Formats: sequence, C-alpha cells, structure tokens
Amino acid sequence: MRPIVIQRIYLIVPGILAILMALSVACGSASAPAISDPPSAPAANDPVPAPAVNAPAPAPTAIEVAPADTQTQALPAPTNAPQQPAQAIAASEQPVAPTAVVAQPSPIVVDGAERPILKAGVIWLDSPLDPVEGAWAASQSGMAENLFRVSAANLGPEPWLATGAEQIDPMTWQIGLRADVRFHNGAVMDADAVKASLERTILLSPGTGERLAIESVEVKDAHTIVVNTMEPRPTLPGLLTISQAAIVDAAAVDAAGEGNFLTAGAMTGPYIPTEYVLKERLVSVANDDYWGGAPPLAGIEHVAIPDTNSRELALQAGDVDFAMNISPEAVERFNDDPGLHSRTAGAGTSVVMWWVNFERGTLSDPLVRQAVSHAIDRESIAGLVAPAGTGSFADLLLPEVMASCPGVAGPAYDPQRAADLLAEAGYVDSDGDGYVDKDGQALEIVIGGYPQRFQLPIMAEAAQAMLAEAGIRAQVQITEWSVVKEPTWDLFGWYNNVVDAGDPVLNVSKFVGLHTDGSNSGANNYGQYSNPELVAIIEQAGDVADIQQRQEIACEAQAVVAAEIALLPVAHAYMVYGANEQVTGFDPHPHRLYMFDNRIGLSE
Amino acid sequence: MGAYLARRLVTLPLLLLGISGVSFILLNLAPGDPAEIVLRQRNPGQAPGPAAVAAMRTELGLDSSLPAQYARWVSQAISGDLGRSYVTEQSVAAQLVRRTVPTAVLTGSALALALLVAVPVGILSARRRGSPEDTAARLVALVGAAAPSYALAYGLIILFAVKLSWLPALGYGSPAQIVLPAIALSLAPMAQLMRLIRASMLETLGEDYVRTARAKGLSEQTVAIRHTLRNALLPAIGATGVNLGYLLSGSVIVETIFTWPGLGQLMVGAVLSRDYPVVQGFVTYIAVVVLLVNLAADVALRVADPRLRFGRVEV
Repeated sequence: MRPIVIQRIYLIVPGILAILMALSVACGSASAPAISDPPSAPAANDPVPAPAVNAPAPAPTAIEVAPADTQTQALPAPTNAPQQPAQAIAASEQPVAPTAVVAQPSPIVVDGAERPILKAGVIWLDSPLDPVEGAWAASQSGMAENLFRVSAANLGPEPWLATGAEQIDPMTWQIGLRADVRFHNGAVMDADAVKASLERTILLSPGTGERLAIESVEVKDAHTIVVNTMEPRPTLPGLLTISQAAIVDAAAVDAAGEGNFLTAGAMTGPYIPTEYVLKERLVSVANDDYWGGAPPLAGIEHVAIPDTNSRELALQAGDVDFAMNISPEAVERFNDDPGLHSRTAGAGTSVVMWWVNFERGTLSDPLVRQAVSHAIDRESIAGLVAPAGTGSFADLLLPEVMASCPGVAGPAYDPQRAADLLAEAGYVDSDGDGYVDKDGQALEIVIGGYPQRFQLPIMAEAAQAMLAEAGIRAQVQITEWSVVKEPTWDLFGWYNNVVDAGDPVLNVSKFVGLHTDGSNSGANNYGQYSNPELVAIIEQAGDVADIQQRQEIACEAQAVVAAEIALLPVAHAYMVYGANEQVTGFDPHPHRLYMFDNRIGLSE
Repeated sequence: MGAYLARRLVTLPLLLLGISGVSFILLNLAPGDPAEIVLRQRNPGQAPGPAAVAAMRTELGLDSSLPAQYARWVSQAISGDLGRSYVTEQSVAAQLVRRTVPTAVLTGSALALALLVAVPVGILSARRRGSPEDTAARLVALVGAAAPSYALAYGLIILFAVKLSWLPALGYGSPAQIVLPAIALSLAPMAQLMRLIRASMLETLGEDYVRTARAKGLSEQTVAIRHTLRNALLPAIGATGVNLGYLLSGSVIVETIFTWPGLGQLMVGAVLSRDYPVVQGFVTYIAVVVLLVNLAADVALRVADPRLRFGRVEV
C-alpha cells in the first residue's frame, strides 16, 4: 500500500494543487464576511499605540476652501438641495460587526458618464467606524465630519459643519450651524441633531467628555446651539475637532441597534460607507447630496496594507491608485516615474524629539544637559531623518505655521561650548581613554527609543557618534515605547502629534505641564520635568480665547522649554502620499485626520 | 506501532505545556502594561489615569500572580477557550479558526509546489550527476535555500507585478493572487527537498539491492523508479513534516508583505499591539499543528519503512 502512495506522487501532487487552487477560489468569494474581524477594534491607527496624544503619522487631506480666520464666519453656501440618499444599504448578517456587508458600489452614472472608483492603499483599518469609539477611519476617509476642523493654513480650528462660534462668556459658546447639511440617511442636521450627537459623544467617550467639559447644550434655534461648559473652555472650537466629537445622527444609530453603525447612514461626509471588513478593506460610494458638492468619484475603496514597502509596490504595480504614508526613498522613486508622483503636505503636524530625563540624575545637572545638547547637531540629524520633502528641522516643538516665535531658539550645535561646559561641570578625560570622567566615574548617556518609527534608531545612532566626538560615551537602547516610563534612559526618542485640538498652548503643555487634568496638560511628561515658572506661563492661557494671544503664550512657554532643555525636538514629520497620474484634485492636508474630501478624482 | 503511538501521544500534552509555559513567561517579561496599552488604544489621544489602569488590570485578570494567571489560562485552554483579544474583545479561538483557512491555502499550495518541483528535479539531478542540468539545479537550490523569504517576496512583486504587470502585487481572493506568495514561501523548502532527494537518491543508487536489480537486467528506468525512488523518498517524508513548521513561520513574513489575511498577519498585528491572549493562543495553536504533523510524518515513515516498524533502526 505504501508504494502506491509513493509511486503515484506525480499524480497526487498536481491533484492536491488543483484542489487547493479550487479551494482558494471558493474561499475568495466567500471570504468577505467570513474573514472579517469583529467590531470593536483598537483605535490607534498606528502599530505604535503610542501614547495617547501622539500618534502615528499618517494623515491626509486636502486643503479646504475655508476661511482662515475662523470664528464667526459664514462659509460658502450650500449647493444642491438634499434628496434621498442614493444608496440602499443592506442589513448586516453579523449583528455585532461593523462589518456589515452591503450593497455593491455600483458605478454611479452622472451626465451619461460612468464615474471611476479610487483604490487607496492605507495602513491599518483596524478601528471601528463609529467615530465615538475612537476611530479615525471615518474622518480620514471623508465619511465623518465635525463642527470644526484643523485648518491647513494655521493648524488652528476653522468652521466645518458649523458656520462659526462666538464666546458669550468664559463658560458659554454660541455655535452657528450650516443649514444645508443632511446625514447620509437623508435626515436634516439641525440643532437638535447636533445636540444629541454631542451628548452621545460625552456619554460614550468619557475621556472626550472630560476634555470638552460640556455641562449642557441648548438649542437656540434650528441652526444655533449654545454650549455651557463646567469650567472655562477658551479652546472649545479646537476641542470640537477631535474625531470622537464628529457629528452623527444619534437617533438613527440607536434605531439601527448595536453593531449596525454602518447601515444607519449617520454621517455627513462626501462618501457613504457600504462595506467594512476590519483589517482588510473599507468601501464607500459618493454622497451626491453632499453639502459641499458631489464628488467626481463613484466611490473609494480603501485597502489595508500595513507594510510600507508593499503599499508602495502596490501603487507601482497599479493595484492601487493612491498610497498613504510613503517612505522618503519612495518619494524619489515615484518622482522619477512618469506615471506616478508624490504629494507632501505643507506643514509637519508631528514631531520627532528626545525626552530628557530629569529624574535619573545624569542629565539633571544643567551643565551636563547643556553640554550634551550643544554636542548634538540636531539640524544635521533632521536632514537624515527628514529628507527633503518629507519633513524639516524642528528647533522648537511647534511648527512655524502654528506659532511663529521670532528670537526663540533651542541649543545650537557648538562642540567647543560643549567641551567648556563639561569642564565646568568637572568632567575631564583623566584616564586618556577618549571619554570624560569625574571622580573616577565615566559619563555615560543612554539613548532610548522604539523601532516602529524609522527616525528614532537613526537619531540615536547619529547622536551616539556626535557625543563620542565630544568625549561622552553613549549607549543606544532601541526597545519599546513603554520603556519610556522606566527610569533607564537619559534621552528617549519619541514621535508625537503636535497639533492636537488646534491649540498651540496645549501642544506645548501636554509635554511639559505637570498637572494632568481633563485638558490633557502634562499627559505625556515622561521626562518628569517640573518648573513652576513654566506652569505659571501656561496657566495664563486659562481663559484666553484669542488664537494670537495663545500663540504668544505658547512662544513664551517654548522659550522656557528651549532654555532649560526640557526636551530636544529634532524634526517635524510631514504627511507624504503617493498617487498615479490619473489622480486629480488631491491637495494633501497637513493633518492625517483629513485625507479625502469631495475634490479628489480620477481622470481617464 | 500501537505502543509507539501511545508513547508519542502521552508526551504531546507535556510538550504543549512546556511550549505554552515558556511563551507565557516570555510575554510577561516584555515591557509595557497591557492594561494601559488597551486603554490607550480604545481612547486615542488620551492618557489613562491610574484608577482606570487599575480597573482594567482587574478586568483583564492581570492583578493575580503569574502562576495563577497561567493556571487559569491552561484550565480554560483545555476546554478550548483561549480567552479574548485585549484589542478586539473577540474570542481568540474564533479568530484563529477563521484565519486558518487562508493560511492553510497558502502553506498547502507552497508545499505542493515545493514537492511538485523538488521531486522530479531532485531525481533528474541525481541520475545525471555532474551534468549541466545537475549543476544548474544545485545552483538554483543554493540560492533558494540562502535567500530570505522577504527578499524573494519583494523581488517577485517587483518583477512580476511592477515590471511585467502579469500578476497582482498583493491581496486575497482571486487565484492570480495566490501565485506570488505561494512561490515566495515555497522556494526555501523546495530547495531543501531538492537537495535532500538528490543526496538520498545518490546514496540509494549505490546500495546492493540496486546493483542486484541492475544485474537482473532491469532497465535503468525501472531501477530508478521502482527500486531507488521508493527508498530515496523516505527522508523527504520526514523533512516535509519539519518543513511545515518552517512554512507556518515563514508565512508570518510572507502574509504581511502580501496582505494575506491569515494567521501570520494576525500574529504580527497582535505582537505589535501587545495583544497577549492572541499571541499566546497563536503559539499554542501552531505548536499543536506542528507537533501533530510531525507525528503524522513519523507514523507515515514507519508505515513506509518496515525497518523502522520492527525497531531495527531507531529514528
């Protein structure tokens, strides 16, 4: 019997292969629902669930028309009158999944011409669609919209579904609403709906509720709400940009039932979701009743491709038309390819930096801290980690467009000054080994970081070499982001968003303020830096609503941070996209939250 | 045979206990508090307070001692409950089962492809030892065995998807999409099997019974197929069992590159997001599969080779 098996192996193997192929075809067609992962997924869009505020990099979008000087300004009028939403959305088979499988995105025919579907390679797609569950998927893909959004021009808040906001007193804001907005299900977005949506956010996302500190929402008239806060919230419009506060039709979501968010038609953006298979794909069709005008596309199919090389190759191979978050190498490659191009946003909204450890001892001596910072040429390291077109040197935490601070600068590269400071601190090379020491103890710096952000290991190695030239022995430990909480490092590489809620003060204070309150101030102070003078400066912002004044306060705070070397910024990272030549109307927004709007199209 | 099988089956649970215990300890040695990671993932942009972290530790059962946690895990695992993902809150066992199909399709195709090429080429190579064909086959085998699968994967994408546009670069669902990942995954085991079959063919060709067969006046064809190949394939059967373990681990990389929605991709995501129950469940699941396949290969060998069955040779 055994011989038969062996003798016939030539026949058996092709047989197996044929069966497997058939199986793969069968699975392929069945797989959509079968493989879809369940709902409630993680929210972070990045593998590095980096600490809260800091997120990953990717983000998107187009620069919008909107008025740069925000508050109280009416936006251009609505276009087409709302009619019934085009899409029939079928019910989901799996009650608990956001994965409802739905109607196929049949090409929409307008003016007799069939509109194309854009295929976009994105990173994760592992977060739920419902914005209140902490997801960015719906905002990034042009499905969910907020009352305000972060402006491409100054990274401050600008009206979106709102027409403007007016501060009546420190605890009260009046917000005007666009009159021409309908949810995907056809319901009108009026003051009652906005009130219900904000109340839903506060109920279901306690963290967001704490930041907003909303006591009550009153309906003044059909298109005006009055928001009362529990404590002064001068930056309420900025806080309303957070993705959990996107406006949804709360009544429709409740009616649809748990896990049926997709079928509720509860969002307002230019694209309507039709199918979402977690970690695989998110499909949408155009919302032809969109208040900003119907998109030129029939819809967008987002495909999750976590591996950066694969995402770039998929674009080169024509599997996708568009890829987010591409590498600096790909930027050059794409720009040399006549069929492709890369697009870079106009400003960096994330920073790569080093935490400075004030707790461990080595760098708590101000002289040593200064010596180390003068020994590191941050600007040339920025050139390594942020090649042309993908980022720029970050002398200070905040990007220039968010807060321009003339005269404020961080420690400049100055090896001579570093040597002098070391000598002043008592460190000399007494044993002739090339490294300084004091009382027989060598000076050794541990530079930490995590590998998921490609910039961090490069930064650590470059700094190690520069410190060695200054006679400081440095050790590189690239491990894992949570190590930042263990007192085992002196400098720790970090990647963080710096335009949270469009507020310059918050984006300085969250790194260095020491009081962790609902505003998130001090939430990430991993260096344990403590300075009453800085806290006093930040506290001045307590009830200041004027954005210019807040920029001035942020500059004052950054001056202290730079002088004290509370941390060391290195580079601002830009959102970088790749697209083929058919992609039109794409204008990358500096913030990852806004990737697609109603202007992106595909030419023939 | 029965006693042998019984002995192997008794050691199986002990091996599993050892493997799962080691992975449990290693996972817990890694830095980072899963409770905090979970909270940050569920509320991006917000740093969880100490009270919330403590409550989550209790919810996840992280507040009991390590041995107690492991004991609870083992007792649940025996009844088929591998716990719930920290991240998706979904049953780990259900996720593993759902993702087994794509991985089985991929590794099965890769293994079949490897055998399909390695067996005839190995035989040919041995029969024409020293010929240009033999040299070429050995060279290809060397490259296949030496090149890491991720390099092969990217190379295949660049050549067949980007330059030639013959096949899609990635994805899952259509027959065309399986071709590149299956080739990328199969090259290393293919090379290994090819060399193994060639070597054992050469060895068998020198045996007395082959000389006897030739002396009887049988044709070279008959000698090669009926007398030599049958014996030469024995080591290949054993190697196939071992190769399955290789294929499953190799699929972690290949699935990630080709966005193939299988176990490997699940594992990578779980490791990156510190999803301990999924990682632990994956390790145990793969251990079960590899151990069973190796057992099956050993049994198959004994069925195929009487010398092993009667205990004259210990393997």
